[in-house]
Amino acid sequence: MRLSLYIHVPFCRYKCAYCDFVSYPLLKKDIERQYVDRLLEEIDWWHQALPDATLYTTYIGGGTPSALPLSLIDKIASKVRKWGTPVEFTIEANPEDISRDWLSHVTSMGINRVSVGVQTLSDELLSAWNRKHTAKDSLRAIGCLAESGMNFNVDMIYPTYLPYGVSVPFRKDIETIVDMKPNHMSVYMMDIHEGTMAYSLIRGGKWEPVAEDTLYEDMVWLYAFMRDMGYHHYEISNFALPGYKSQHNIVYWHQDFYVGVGISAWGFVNFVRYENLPTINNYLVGDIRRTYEVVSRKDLLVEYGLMALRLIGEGINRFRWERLGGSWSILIGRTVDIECVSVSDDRLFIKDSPECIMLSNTIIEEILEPWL
Amino acid sequence: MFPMDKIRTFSIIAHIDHGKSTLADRFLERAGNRKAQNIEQYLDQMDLERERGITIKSHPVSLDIDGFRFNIIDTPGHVDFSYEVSRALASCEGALLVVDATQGVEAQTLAHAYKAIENDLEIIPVINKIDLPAADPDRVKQEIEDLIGIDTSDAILVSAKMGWGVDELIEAIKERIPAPSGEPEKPLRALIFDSKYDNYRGVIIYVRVFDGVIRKGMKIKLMATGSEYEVNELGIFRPEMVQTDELGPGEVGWVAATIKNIRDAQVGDTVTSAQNPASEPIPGFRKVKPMVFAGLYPVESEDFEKLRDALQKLALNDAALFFQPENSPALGPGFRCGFLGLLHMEIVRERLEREFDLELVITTPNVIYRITKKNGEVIEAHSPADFPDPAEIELIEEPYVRGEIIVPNDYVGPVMQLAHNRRGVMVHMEYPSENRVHLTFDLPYAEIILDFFDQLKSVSRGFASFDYDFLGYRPADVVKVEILVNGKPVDALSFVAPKDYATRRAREVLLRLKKVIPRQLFEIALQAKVGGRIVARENIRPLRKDVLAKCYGGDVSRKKKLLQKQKEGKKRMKKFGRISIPQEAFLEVLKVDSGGGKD
Repeated sequence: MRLSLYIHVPFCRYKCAYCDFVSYPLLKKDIERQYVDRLLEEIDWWHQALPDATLYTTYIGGGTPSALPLSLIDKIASKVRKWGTPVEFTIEANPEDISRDWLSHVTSMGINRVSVGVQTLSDELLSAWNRKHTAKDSLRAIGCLAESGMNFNVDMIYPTYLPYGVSVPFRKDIETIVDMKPNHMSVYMMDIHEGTMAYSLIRGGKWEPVAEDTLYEDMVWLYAFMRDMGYHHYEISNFALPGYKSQHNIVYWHQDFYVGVGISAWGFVNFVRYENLPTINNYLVGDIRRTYEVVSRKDLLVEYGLMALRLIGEGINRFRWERLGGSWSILIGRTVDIECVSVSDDRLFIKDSPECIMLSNTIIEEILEPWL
Repeated sequence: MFPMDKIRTFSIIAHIDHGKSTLADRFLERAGNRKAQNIEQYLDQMDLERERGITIKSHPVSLDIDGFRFNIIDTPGHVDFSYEVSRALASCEGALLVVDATQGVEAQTLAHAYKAIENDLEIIPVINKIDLPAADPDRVKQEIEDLIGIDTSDAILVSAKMGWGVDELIEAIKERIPAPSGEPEKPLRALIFDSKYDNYRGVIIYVRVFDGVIRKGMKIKLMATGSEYEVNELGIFRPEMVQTDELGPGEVGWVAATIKNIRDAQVGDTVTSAQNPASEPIPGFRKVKPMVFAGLYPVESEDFEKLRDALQKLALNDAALFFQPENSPALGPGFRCGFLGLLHMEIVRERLEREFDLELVITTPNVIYRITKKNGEVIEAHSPADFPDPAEIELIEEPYVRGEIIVPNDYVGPVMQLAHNRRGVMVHMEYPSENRVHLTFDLPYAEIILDFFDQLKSVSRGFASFDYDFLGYRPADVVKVEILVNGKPVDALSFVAPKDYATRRAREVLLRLKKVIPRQLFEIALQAKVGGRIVARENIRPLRKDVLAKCYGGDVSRKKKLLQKQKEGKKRMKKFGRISIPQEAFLEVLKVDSGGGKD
């Protein structure tokens, strides 16, 4: 069995305005140490529980994993290497943490991919988002990455809301970054969740929504630009140079098995999905609390549809759909009149055009409604 | 048989919250057969009645106090059921007119009091809540005299809450309300003032005996239909049903005679003896006639049969509910239903959804238009779809009502403006007390079943009270407005409007539809058409973008749950091809911002 591993590091130096993840401020070194020790135990536990599994990819995400001291990152990476050699071993990093030195250290640990959270090159926006790095830091970090030859991804956020009076040169930012040839880019629209700082700022009238047409035009431009620059737009929000799709993310999207360790991590093993609860105190004393859900064939079908349709040009595979119990003819019936969907003998997918990709959510809902 | 000279039968007329149930509780206490506070559970039995604080069915109770038998007939409290009110009042000799000493007479009280006067009832004015500091019994008495025209010098001042004046009131009932005057030897004549359906006993009729005696085992005849039945059981209300052997003149009680269909035992009909029938029925019988029609459609067409079953079940207990299958090109199979009024319609819809778990689309309600065609034929249009081609129409008539509005002085202007916008004509205006005005308007009923009452409450900050009575048909200058969605007429959205306001209303309706119909994958064109001409147009822009969020690890599970939740919400959408129109859209057509005003 091929298995992927996700390792969650919930610590951050600061909380971004739009972030709704569980995160804990970096306060005491011993808590991080304790947490990492528990992570290692959980990895061991899974390793023993699934002795036949071959480790396929590993992803250290957060939070801000790069905020951990290198010694602790090394402890985690050694544990991973004990289990196997992942073909893709990613760590998420904030720009301010990346240096030549840091990169050579993580490379020596077997980590072969870095995902850097640049988000925007506007200092005004970075500060509004409560991020403590600058555009200069980001450019320096990307420079280091490019120069080191490391496989790296740049995360960008499209601001769907902006503080009053702030405008963002989104296209210029993208051009600047792509000029430095990241292997992979993710561009997400900022999603506003209740309880976040962004949510209150919007409620309080401090941020205003970006005009729908501006957003639309920017996305149309982005898709075309990325294609012109040689990137494959392989998922709604993800772009990769040939050979550099994120293998780890594809595991999620293809419903392959993975285990997640650390608080609030999810796993999906042998058709059981679990979630580690987000509370840290119990975790620190080795009391791992989880909720489990056996994913029924019906749920597998819907989830498959949800994720497969996001994969541009790939879509739903007829054989797989039917094997999960879905009716191909009903599925095709759902797409009549939806111009944005193409159907071939064995595939049904959302067309690779900006106007269609932009409506993915609505189209997916529309198509999958009978199975929800 | 209870001795007639000791029977007192009366109704309590009161506005909501003026203290009717508290007063009834006091009577119950005095009768000693039940603890106070229990009466409400009998008086307002349906969930809906309790929730809305209204009475839909009659709830009679017979109480024995000081050797007297008090029959209290609680009447439905809404104008939709005004015929039932009139029959309940016809069953009484007297009425207590309960008015809140801190408020004054409200329109509904007025309407009921007028009916009591028409029925020659002895009215005892009761000024309630005199314990409150804001009580002003003298002003309220003056209002009663000015508005209703009855003497209030012997009005009884009570506080039902504190129990003050209740003894005095009981004495007044004994002394002032006449005992019934019937003869036990005469052929039986009993008035049906309400009925309900019981799964085991069939239809239970609520009667007031005028002459003769009903006994167990007796053969009875219902005079309007001529059908005959044998009495299985009978009794009185305590308020629960208690069996007795007979009911004599002046008595109020219930009769079960294996009547299968509630339509065979209509309110207002007279029960007589099959062997020895009375020559004349009690006057005032009228067949139930629905006043408002609307289409009811299941959201899922396959629920049609389920809806039919549900309507049949409701109709068992609701003689006023009419329905017949109707096929709408837009909505599929459904029923055109007739109701006594908007409240009745709301109740039926809510019961269908709650008790039968149906998802329904309800179309814009309309009144019955009487249309005379050029060839002399007269038709009744129960829906805009029944309207003939404009070229064939000679005359359209619509029902009118006389509306009574009581409102504080400060709001007279806006109220008059509203009534005027709704094609109302003022026929009377008076000042019952210093700062209150009583306005009487003749209005088309169609304007009332829009959102007249809501608007009235809104322009008067909730202070105006309103009631009305039907006047009959009058000529109407109205046209049918068709709504087209992407070029196709959606019959369920079409409506009838006064010609002068048609274009304006069409525009308002389109703007409102534009707000409630969510943007979809393609452009939606909304058009309004009057007599073959497009008079208004709105476009709903297609959706251009979604927020494209992450979908890693556990996100897919969250996303799936979110979509499932959204799907629940979408159930109330009706699909036209691929266009989803939310249920509320069909009712949006109803609302009128400005009411009128010419183009």
